[in-house]
Amino acid sequence: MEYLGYIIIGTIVLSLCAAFFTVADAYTRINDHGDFTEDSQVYMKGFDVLEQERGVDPSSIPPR
Amino acid sequence: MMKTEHANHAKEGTFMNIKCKNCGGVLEFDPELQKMVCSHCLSMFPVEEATKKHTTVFDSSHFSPENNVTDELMDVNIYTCESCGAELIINDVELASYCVYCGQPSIVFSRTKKRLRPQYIIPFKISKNQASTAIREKFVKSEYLDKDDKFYAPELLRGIYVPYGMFCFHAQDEAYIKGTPYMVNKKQKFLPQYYYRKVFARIGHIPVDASFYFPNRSADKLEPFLDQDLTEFDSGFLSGYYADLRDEDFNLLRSRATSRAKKILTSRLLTIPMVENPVLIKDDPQIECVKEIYALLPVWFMVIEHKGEKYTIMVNGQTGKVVGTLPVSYKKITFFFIMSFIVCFLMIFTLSLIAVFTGYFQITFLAYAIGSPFFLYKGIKKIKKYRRDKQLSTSETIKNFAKERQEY
Repeated sequence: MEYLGYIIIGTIVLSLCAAFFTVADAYTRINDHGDFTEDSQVYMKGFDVLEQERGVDPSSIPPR
Repeated sequence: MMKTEHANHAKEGTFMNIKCKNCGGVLEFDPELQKMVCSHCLSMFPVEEATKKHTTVFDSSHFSPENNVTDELMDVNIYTCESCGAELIINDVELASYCVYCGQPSIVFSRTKKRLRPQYIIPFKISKNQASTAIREKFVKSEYLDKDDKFYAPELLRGIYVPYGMFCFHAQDEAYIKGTPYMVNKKQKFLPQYYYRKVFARIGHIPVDASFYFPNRSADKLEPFLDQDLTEFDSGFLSGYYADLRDEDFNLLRSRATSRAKKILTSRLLTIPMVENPVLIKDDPQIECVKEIYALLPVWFMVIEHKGEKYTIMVNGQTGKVVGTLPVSYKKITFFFIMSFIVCFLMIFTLSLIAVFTGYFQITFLAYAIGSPFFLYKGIKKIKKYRRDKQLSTSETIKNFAKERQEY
């Protein structure tokens, strides 16, 4: 029981942080703006792969 | 120069009300029926028929703009409502509006016809009732809102057609990508490999908000707007709603749309079947804008007041998506926080005692040391996101965009 004091302090600190996170999480979930990602594929109307090669030698890649 | 332009508009200005051929009442566009409906005798007409045959165009002398003389009044036109004689104040970009006194829908026909006529429109698909229900659902679900605050006045909802530029692109790209082949058996490890891809993409109708007064971040959050409902512009769709004209340069909009097209292309480019963690090493995108249109897109707006602060909630008039941050009750938050703390305390304390008695006290202290900053960091991040979103809903810009026209 020599650790009881540390356990109580540790538990209080961790519980406070966990409770803070729970409240913040519920807060943002309710108020979720339904963020729309800029790279959404909704607007992609057609996508054709003209050429594809696997196992390209890295040294053959032209510099940027 | 501006003054002359305004003066010309003033001279040419005509207003249009779409009249019912049966009773002479005003027709309004009904999103659920997708028809023009007379609010007096409930007759219904297809939009094209109503606008072609039963339109009453008033001479500008009846709705004559005045007071474009001083610099202060340059961006504001004042009209006189034929129905009640009241003065209508319409800003420089407003296309459709109501008389603030008698509620008569009126359309600035000269501007739709001559200068900034939109090419396309997505008519409202979500009715006022549906938008109101969607917002109410969000309010009812909110655990942090007092019961009394969950009820609001639905008559404050306003349908506004927001101007957008919509852009289509043809994109070609040659890319080198580094990725790890996906293995069903996770025990087998594959070294990362390099891939070469040459692709062609058609990216269609990316919407970019063309109103200076409507914040871009709000416009982005309302997406997606789907092009399947795009229809040729007909002023009949405006009847019963507010509408603004575009006031942003199309070159600027095109550059925003091009940057988004690039992100869409890259995201798709990196989606290679059976490849994990793809990283773009090099690419050479060629993006060409092949079509651009000017369209009006439908949005419902509601401004509510909570303890002196005003919140603007928006609903996408095509899809019904609700965008907005709700007010909160600090009493409820405190209660929720205390309850969460008690539950967490009991659980963690029990687990800690078990761990210590079974000789794992080091693990317990490690959990305190790692868990506390982790939850604190994640919580602060979430609160910061909430504050950013709240700022968007309570900003003066968005409030002014919606509020100015809702006070009749």
